[in-house]
Amino acid sequence: MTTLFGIGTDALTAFRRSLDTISNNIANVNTEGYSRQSVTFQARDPQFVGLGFAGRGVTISGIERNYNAFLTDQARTAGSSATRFATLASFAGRVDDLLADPDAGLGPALSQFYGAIQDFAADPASPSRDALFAEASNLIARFEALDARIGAIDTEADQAIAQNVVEINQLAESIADVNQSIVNAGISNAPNDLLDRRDNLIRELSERVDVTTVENPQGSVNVFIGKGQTLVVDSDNFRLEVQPAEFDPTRSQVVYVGLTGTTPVEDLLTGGSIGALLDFQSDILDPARRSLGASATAVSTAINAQNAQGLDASGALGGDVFRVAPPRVTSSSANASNATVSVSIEDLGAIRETEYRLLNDGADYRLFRVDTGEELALSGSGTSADPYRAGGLSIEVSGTPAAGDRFSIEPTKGALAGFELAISDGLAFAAAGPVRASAATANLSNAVIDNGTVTDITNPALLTQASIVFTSPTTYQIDGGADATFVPGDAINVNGVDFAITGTPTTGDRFDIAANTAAQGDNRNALLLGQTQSLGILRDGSLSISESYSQLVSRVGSATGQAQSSATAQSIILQSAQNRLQEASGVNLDEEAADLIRYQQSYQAAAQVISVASTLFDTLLAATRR
Amino acid sequence: MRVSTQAFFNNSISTLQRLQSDLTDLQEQIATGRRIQRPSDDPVGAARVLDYRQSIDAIDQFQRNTGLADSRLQLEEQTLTEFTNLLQRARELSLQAGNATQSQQTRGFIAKEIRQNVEEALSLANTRDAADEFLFSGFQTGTQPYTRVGDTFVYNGDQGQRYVQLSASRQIADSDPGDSIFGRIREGNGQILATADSANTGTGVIVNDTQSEVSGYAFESYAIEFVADDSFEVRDDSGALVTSGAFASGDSIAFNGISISIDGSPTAGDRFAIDPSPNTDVFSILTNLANALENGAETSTGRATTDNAVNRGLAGIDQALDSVLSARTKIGARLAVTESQLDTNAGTKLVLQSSLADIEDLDYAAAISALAQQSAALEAAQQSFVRVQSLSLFNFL
Repeated sequence: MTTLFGIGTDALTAFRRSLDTISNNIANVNTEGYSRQSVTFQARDPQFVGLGFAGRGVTISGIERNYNAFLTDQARTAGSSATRFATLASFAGRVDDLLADPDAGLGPALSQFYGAIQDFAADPASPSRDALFAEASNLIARFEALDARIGAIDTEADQAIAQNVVEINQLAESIADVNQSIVNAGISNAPNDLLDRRDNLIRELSERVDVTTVENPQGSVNVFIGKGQTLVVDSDNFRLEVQPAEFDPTRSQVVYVGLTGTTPVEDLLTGGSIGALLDFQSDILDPARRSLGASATAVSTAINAQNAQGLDASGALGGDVFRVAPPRVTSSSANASNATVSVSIEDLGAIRETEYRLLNDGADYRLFRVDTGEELALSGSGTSADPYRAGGLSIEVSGTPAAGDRFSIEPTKGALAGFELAISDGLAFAAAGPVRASAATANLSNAVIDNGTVTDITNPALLTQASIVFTSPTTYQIDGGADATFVPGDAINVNGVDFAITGTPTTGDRFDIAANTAAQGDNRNALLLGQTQSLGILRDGSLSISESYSQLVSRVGSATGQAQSSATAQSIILQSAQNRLQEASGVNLDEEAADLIRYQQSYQAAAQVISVASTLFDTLLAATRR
Repeated sequence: MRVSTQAFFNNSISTLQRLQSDLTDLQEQIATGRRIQRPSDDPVGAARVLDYRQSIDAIDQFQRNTGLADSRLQLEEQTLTEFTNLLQRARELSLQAGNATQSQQTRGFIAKEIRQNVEEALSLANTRDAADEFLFSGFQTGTQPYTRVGDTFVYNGDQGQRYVQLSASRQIADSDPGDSIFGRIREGNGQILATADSANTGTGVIVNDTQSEVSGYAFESYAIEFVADDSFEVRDDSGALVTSGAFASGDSIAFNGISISIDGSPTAGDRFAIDPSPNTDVFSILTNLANALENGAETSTGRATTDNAVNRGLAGIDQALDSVLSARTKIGARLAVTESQLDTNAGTKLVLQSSLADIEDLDYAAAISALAQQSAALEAAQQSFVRVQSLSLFNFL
């Protein structure tokens, strides 16, 4: 009789436990990372009753979670990749959007600026000067607007990195805590919900950075991030921190706070959203800023150089039109000495759009390209009279360096910070050539002279009056100097300008050369200013100003496109991994509903067993009462 | 396959989101008419779009330049046409003045009209363009090219010629310095100028042989002197005798490739000079002619002097006409270039625009049918989601 009661109550307890588990499943149907739990039953050990063994009812052998370590790992890896590419695509897309607008990009501003130069060339005396000045300001404004928006995206990326670091630290702490709780619970009674929670925390961590885990025998897991940095060991965790960068205090870098102090880990943090953000900064954002800076430097260099070849509205040789910030040199915060370095660009075509590093090896300075690691041989001695020269850079050092001193050189990345007009109105544009020439009216021959091509604008006598006088049909004198032989068609250089005399001059013919004052209709230099648009000034002469911009657009476009298609592909992989995981571990409400009914019925049946036992007992009592 | 409730909802939602995002992309493409919304849609295409746009902008600019050059050249051509008419009239007047029936009084009238012509010619040479710049002063477009000082005329401009960019590789001059059109006119036949000495007492009138070119002329000067009424000597600069001979009225004197005929009757001691043609401006040629006509005397010697001056003036006017005509020919050629360049540029622009359209423009037919397909897919996904999610065992408990 007691057996019957025992079996009945055991069954009731077991089925109620099942119903509890089902309720828990239903309650957690929307809980991220929850694995469906189920109660496993086991028949109790039988009792020998002489004839054989009689069953003694049911017992709960355990509450298990439907868990598959392989599928969980797979879903976590897929999630890490998907987050990485989604983050990269999202940030790259912002730069992409910035360059997308055909009316707001740099292209139209460059076209308008060069259009204004053409208008200026077609009619240099009219208000076209002022229009050109306005377009030059507009060009700068467009460059600045682009730079400001890219700067804003950079700041946002920095903030996102800092946010990620905070989250990684929080997750590390939580994982360490859960580790502790799991160890406390003891390995024999695996607390399913805690295991789920830890898996979920590790999954969240993996969305931020690459994660590898190692399980310990007592149930805790050790977590390593990136390329093997230890983050969690049992119930202890290490931290990441954000500090000002070594070479650029305005920018932050991520450091790992380990047992032996802090180490920069940016190169070691791969995968996840923090890996994507670091990749975005180094692969898309920095090259974009370098490229825009190079374009601005190219515009400035080309226009300034050409403007200097002509006379402005006041009749003086043209000066600089634009100014850009010089190459940015920053010394490492770890430098032991206070040696300083200043850099200027000597040959824009030889510069590559990358960072350069100058380091002192104790005896000498050595220059390296950061992108390829290639060392550039330095010539010169580093003094202002004889600076170091390599790769188009001119490097001047002062102070006494210490071995190991390092300097970062960014030739064009910061150029836009100082991009401005060096002139205050349109009168400073040099439209006219510096000199003009004419044949004297009294000349007997009809030989003519052209207006000359400048070969040396720095010639101090450039603007002084001069004359070429023929002492015979085949000899001439410059300013009464020695006779020179006249070869038809050959250039005659007078004070840094090449002149060509065509026709057949005769004895006594005189050609006068004078400064080109009051030549408000002369556009020779303006035409040359216009031609700088298609001049290859970047990358060893292979890239013009506008080509450089379209190359940037194409590069950002393809990087973004790649990130986007990877993101799409990874999200599909993630979805299928999650589906497989859910297939094994997810909660299906219909299934739970069926189970609910099943165990409700079982519970009712078990209750009936007790009721029958009670009836039997009553029957027995009634029989023995007499 | 076991489908968890969470997976069902997640999958349905991500499908709906993907379809919606595709639809938004399509809608954006249709709304803007552009296939490439951002560089990542087609990085190579986006860069080419930028290049094409820049080329099209440049062509628009070249068209503007060409239009500007065209209108300046038209103005120049028109001014020079008027100038030609003016010179033709002056030529007719000089021919009239050379007529033996003219009296000193009628010559005075002719002179007045020639002076009038000079004034008109000056104002034509000082023409300004639409931007109020002088057309014929070379680079110094703010400086009036010709000013008059008494009977001489000063060119204040220079030899500069402004070029305009018509295409990436083509430049064309849109002006000419006045000096090369109106100044620098070689008097005489362009090589030599024969003049009668003002002290001559005979009636010899020299006729420049403008037809024959002097071959091998190296800018020597010669003097023809009549040693008697019927014999002459020709000497060069150094006084060396070149040739001599007998002379009768109308004879031509020939030496060293030069051929000069003298009408009338020179007397002993009369001199005629042969010099390299000097550069003179057209205004001086006309003014000198008018002066000679006004100052002439009614004596036979005076008539001969006047006739010599008229001959010299006529030769000068012919040279000036040549100079203006040659300038007009060049302008005509340049105008032809601008016209053809306008067509070429327009053609190139059309090609570039169609290439740009090929890369950038949306295929509307394809896009709209894709839109219909995508919206049908979204609708189906929404309907099936609503249908399936309502199926739950709990509904029946």
